[in-house]
Order: sequence, then structure tokens, then C-alpha cells
Amino acid sequence: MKYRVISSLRTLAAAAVLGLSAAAGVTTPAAAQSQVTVTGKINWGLWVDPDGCMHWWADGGVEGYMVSRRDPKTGRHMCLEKNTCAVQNSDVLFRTDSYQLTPQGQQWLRQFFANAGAFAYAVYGHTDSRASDEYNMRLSQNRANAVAAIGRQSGAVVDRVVGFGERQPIAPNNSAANMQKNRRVEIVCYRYPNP
Amino acid sequence: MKMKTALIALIVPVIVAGCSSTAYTGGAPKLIATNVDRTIGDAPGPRDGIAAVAVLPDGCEAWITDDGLEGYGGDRSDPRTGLPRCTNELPRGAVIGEWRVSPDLPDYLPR
Repeated sequence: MKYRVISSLRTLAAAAVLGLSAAAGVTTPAAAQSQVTVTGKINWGLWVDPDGCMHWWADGGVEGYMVSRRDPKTGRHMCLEKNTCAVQNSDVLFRTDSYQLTPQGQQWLRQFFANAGAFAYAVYGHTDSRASDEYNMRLSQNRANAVAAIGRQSGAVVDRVVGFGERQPIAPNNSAANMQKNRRVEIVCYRYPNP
Repeated sequence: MKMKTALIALIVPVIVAGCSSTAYTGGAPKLIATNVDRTIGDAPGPRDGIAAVAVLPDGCEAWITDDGLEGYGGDRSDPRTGLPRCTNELPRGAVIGEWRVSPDLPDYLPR
């Protein structure tokens, strides 16, 4: 039902475009598409959950609807930057080009896991864009694994460990300072509501 | 427990009287749900940042919230990646936290 409404709204948009191009004298081939009928309308509201992820909701009187807000290009659930527990620069944690932790990196991580107080964690490794994509995927995964190992040694539950390589930069890789920003490990804390 | 049923019995006729039939009869599409609450006695919808965690049968998690009359559920995702939040550390079916936003309507609970 919901999907029908969404697809019909798209059809309305397409019809508007068709109307415009017809007015401009552009001949458009007849769409190889069956007709849909819009049978209802919903004014969606936005709800932000405790992690910062967004949902569309609507109140139908005595029933309610809620769906995830997704990025139409990637399909990913859209979230606000609210609940990243820690971001640490890789230069602090690791030796250059290595997944071996430095002494101060180990110390920082032990202190972090001792004090964060979350129920569980996720660890994400990132690199800058130097070296090949494949190499960076491997390096960031190994680095994330090293961080997760310290967490588990400290008694933390680490539910997800992923290396994203150079594929999720937070700055353009066009200067030494920006590349340093991109070399990072992110730790997400999963917390639960307290009664 | 029975109070909510009684309240619904009182409210529903008001709602139904307030709108005509919801069946589609052509013409402009009817508004079937909205983000603004216009029903007397109805609750304000979900509140940002307030929900309980519900562990689904597969181990992935959802947020649930009950504003008094309607319940809402949404996927819990990792806020950094948008991937689903799943764990083996919690029992399936568990609810953690307070899911009721407003205390004015006591709930009818299944037995």
C-alpha cells in the first residue's frame, strides 16, 4: 500500500515532466508503463530515534505508521551524527602503514573501553587515498581488528568490525592535513535505555 | 486495562463522524494519515529520542514507542553506517526501556 503511494507520486512527477516537455515541443515516446491510481495521501512526519537515525511516521487516527528514512541512492538508513562514541586518528593508534598499535595507542584504547560504559561496540577503520583501494581495504580491516582485539581483551562486546579503506572520506584527499583527517578509526557505542 | 478499550469506543465514533468514508471514489486523494494530531484525546505521536529497544526473533533490533493510542516501530540501525543493529547478546523478544510516551491511556495487554 505504502509502496503504491510512493510509486504513484513518482508517476505524478514523471507526468509533470512529460507535461513540461510537451509544452516545450519535445516529443516524448509513450512510456512503457502501466497506470497507477493514487488512492490516498499521507503527510509524513520525521522522528529521530535515540541513536540519531531518522524515521518517517504518520498518525492515521487509531493506527500509526513508521518506516526508516533511507538515502534513495544508497538505500542506507539515514542517521544524524549523534552517536559516534569516539573517533581517533590512526597516526596516534598505529605505526605508519602498519596495523601494529603504538604504546600510546594501546593505552588510549584501554582507557577508552574502560570508561565508555556502553553495552556493545562497533569498530570502523578508514584510510586516506594513497596506495591502492585493495591495499587500503586490507589495512583498514586489519587496523579495525586490532582495535576490536583490545576492546575484547578489556571485556567489551564488539559486534561489528569493518574496514572501509579509502571509500568513506570525511575530507577531500587534497592536502596532508585532510588526508590525516581521513586516516581514522571510529568506534560506535550501542547503549540501551535505562529504566 | 479496560479503560483504553472504553476510551477507544468513545473516540472512534468521533473520528468516524469527523471524516466521510475512507474508500477511494476518485477525485483528489484523501489524507489517510498525518504528522499533526487533530483527534481529541489522541496522543502527540512519537517524541524524538524516546523509545524502547525490542529484540526481534532474528536478533536484530527495533525501536518501539506507544503514544497511547497508536504504536510505532522502526528499525534500529548503526548510526555511522546505516547497517542494521544486531547482536547475540540479548534474548529474542526482549524489550529494554520504556515504550509508553504518554501515561494517560492504560494499555490492554495480551495474555
